[in-house]
Amino acid sequence: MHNLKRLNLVWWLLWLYLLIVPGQVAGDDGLRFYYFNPDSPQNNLGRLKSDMEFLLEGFDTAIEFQPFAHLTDFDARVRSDRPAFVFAPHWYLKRHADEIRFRPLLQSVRQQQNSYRKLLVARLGRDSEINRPERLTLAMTSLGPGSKLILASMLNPDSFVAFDKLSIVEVPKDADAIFAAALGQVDVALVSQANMKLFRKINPRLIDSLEVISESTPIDMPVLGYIDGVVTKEQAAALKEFMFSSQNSTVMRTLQIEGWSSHER
Amino acid sequence: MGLKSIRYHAGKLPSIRVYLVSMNLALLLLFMAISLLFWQQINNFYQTEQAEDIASIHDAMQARSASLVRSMALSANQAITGYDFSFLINLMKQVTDGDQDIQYCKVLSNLGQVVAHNRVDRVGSLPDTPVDKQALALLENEFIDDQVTDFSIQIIDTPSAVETQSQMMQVVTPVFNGQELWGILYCGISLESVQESIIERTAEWDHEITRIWVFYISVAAIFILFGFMISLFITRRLLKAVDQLDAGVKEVSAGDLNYRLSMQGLMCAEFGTFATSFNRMASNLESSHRALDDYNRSLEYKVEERTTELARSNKELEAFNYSVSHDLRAPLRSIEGFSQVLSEEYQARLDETGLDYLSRVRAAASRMGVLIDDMLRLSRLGRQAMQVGEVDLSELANVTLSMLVESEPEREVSFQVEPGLMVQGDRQLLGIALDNLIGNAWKYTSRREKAEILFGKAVKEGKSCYFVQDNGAGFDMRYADKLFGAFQRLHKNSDFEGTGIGLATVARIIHRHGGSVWAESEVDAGTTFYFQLP
Repeated sequence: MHNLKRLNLVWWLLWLYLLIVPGQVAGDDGLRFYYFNPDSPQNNLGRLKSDMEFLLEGFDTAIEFQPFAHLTDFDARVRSDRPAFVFAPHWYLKRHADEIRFRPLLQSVRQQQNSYRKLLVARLGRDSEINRPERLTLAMTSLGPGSKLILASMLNPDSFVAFDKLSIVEVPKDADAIFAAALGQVDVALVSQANMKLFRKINPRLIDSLEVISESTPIDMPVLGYIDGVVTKEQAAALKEFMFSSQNSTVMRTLQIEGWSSHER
Repeated sequence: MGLKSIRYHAGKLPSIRVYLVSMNLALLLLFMAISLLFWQQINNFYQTEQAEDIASIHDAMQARSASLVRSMALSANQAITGYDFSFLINLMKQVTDGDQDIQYCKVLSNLGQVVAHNRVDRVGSLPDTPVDKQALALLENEFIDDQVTDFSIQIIDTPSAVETQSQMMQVVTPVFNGQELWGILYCGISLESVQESIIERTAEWDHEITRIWVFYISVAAIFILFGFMISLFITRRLLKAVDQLDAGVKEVSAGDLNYRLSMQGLMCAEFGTFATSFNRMASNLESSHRALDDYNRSLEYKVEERTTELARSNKELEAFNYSVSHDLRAPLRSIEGFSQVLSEEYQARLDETGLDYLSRVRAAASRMGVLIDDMLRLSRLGRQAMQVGEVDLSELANVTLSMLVESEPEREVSFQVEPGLMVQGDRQLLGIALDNLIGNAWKYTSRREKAEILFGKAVKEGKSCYFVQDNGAGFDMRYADKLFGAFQRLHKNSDFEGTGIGLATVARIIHRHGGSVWAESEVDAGTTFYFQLP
């Protein structure tokens, strides 16, 4: 009788497991592709997701594409979910590759360069002069912990920024930094050249209200890679091949890159 | 009561046609009035429903817009706090792209700058349109001044927008950076679709009202037509039946008692009962009339018979009267003649007693002569033809009194005659009647030192009459029924002379005039004779 009760309990637990677990089982069947590129001129993540999913439908294995707007979200999900593929800024991968067992596959190319520069821009006042308060507020996309030091290394020393009195406001997208500066929410912003160029086309009024103060040193373009242990090298190679073959597709415009180059760490 | 209703002139009453036509017209008017009221109620109901429907469309639009803008404001709050302007701008763009009714969405900072717009090229611009300025004024005057801390929605120009069919409705809400009022989010919602919906709904309502109106008019027209036809049919048949009854009643009332009402076409049981009763009444009337005719004929026969008999009797009586009077006169003349011879030629041979007896015989013969003369005069009164004309009774009375005064000038008699009493009658006969009445008064007041005689006019029991009044001896009213009989006397001849023919003559004359005569008296208090002439 006692054994019968135990058997019954086991039976129910089995049913409960089958009811709850199937979703996880199904989720584990697909591969995940996590994207985070705050400096991209592409601000419409919905469209990006849609275009990428359309592109990835042509891949042999089902891949779920997920873009992220915030570094914290991206980092947390990469560590918890362990996606198969990751597209992230170079500085992020350089810092966390070993922790997350990241293996690079491709580096994005823009204007035939594997790097880009960011511009330090300030908002012009009504007198067309730059406001130079003692304590500056700067808007920029996240560079992770120690961003002030990284920033210092990126900028020329002749810029008027006093890093010890600098307050950094991290914005989700590079464009937000432009908006923040242009709309008077911050004093200066660090934005990519590509975004400045793009916004000059879209809204020249905003760009005209800004003045470039300084230019950063070259920053490596974002890198696409895979997480070792989640996919095989063959699958990774297949994706690499697939992405290479898609260089002429419209998705590249969505990603706001021109192509890929092989990346060797 | 019945007599009154019969006496009421039927010509003054309206015809039954008037009642029936009035009733039909009244019913028609009532139906139309009820229809009008009913239609008015339906119209009011539909107008109310239509207004509520339109208001609900508008309210739904407002609620949808308010809900959307509030959601956008919540997202904007998050985006602003996180400097996620690109998200905010994308949100504006996607919302406007995804909803055709939303024409634009903007976020205006409290610094007076457009920080988000569905058109990226408008970001960073200053408020320049009237709508922007209105929104900025709202931000400064209401949201900032009132220290608004929640996403209170304000709809600008909405009611007037609907009334004027303006194409835009502004939905405004504040946005915050944390707890701090940071700016204002406002979206322009096109009312075109609402207007289209309202126009569509209005058209549907109008169509529905028209459909009901047509249905109602058709049904009402059919009802009225059928009602009119039925009413006309019944009214005509009723009138025909009434005419039929009316003609029958008139026919019978005109004297045709053989006429009977036909039962055909009388339409209703009441008319049938009426006709049956009327026919029965006519039959009874005919029978009664026939019986009355028979009775009248027999009565006429009897009257004729009696008249003939009476005429014969009168003739016999007159002949008898004449012969009696005439035949009595001859022996009376012999008695008078021989008694006169006796008293003249044999006076010396008769003793005193014989002479007394002889004088008594002569007085009795003389009195008998007077009686015979009066009797003949009374008899002639009945046969004398009347010459009717206007008669002045006052004049006749004065003449009689003058003659009486002349005959006995020594008497102290006060008399009073009301002047100008004119009547229609036979002057000679009425003169005789007054001679007798006033003569009686003169005679029976002979023992009064101051006699009084009055002649005048009075009213008795509502009728005018004439009277002769004296303060004479009077009589006992117990014998009043004997007063006007021939040769009837209520006083001794020794007290007052007379033959008893006078009042009989008065009564016969007044009766021949179709009038009446009576007396009121009290012993030793006087007598009043009244006579009334038609």
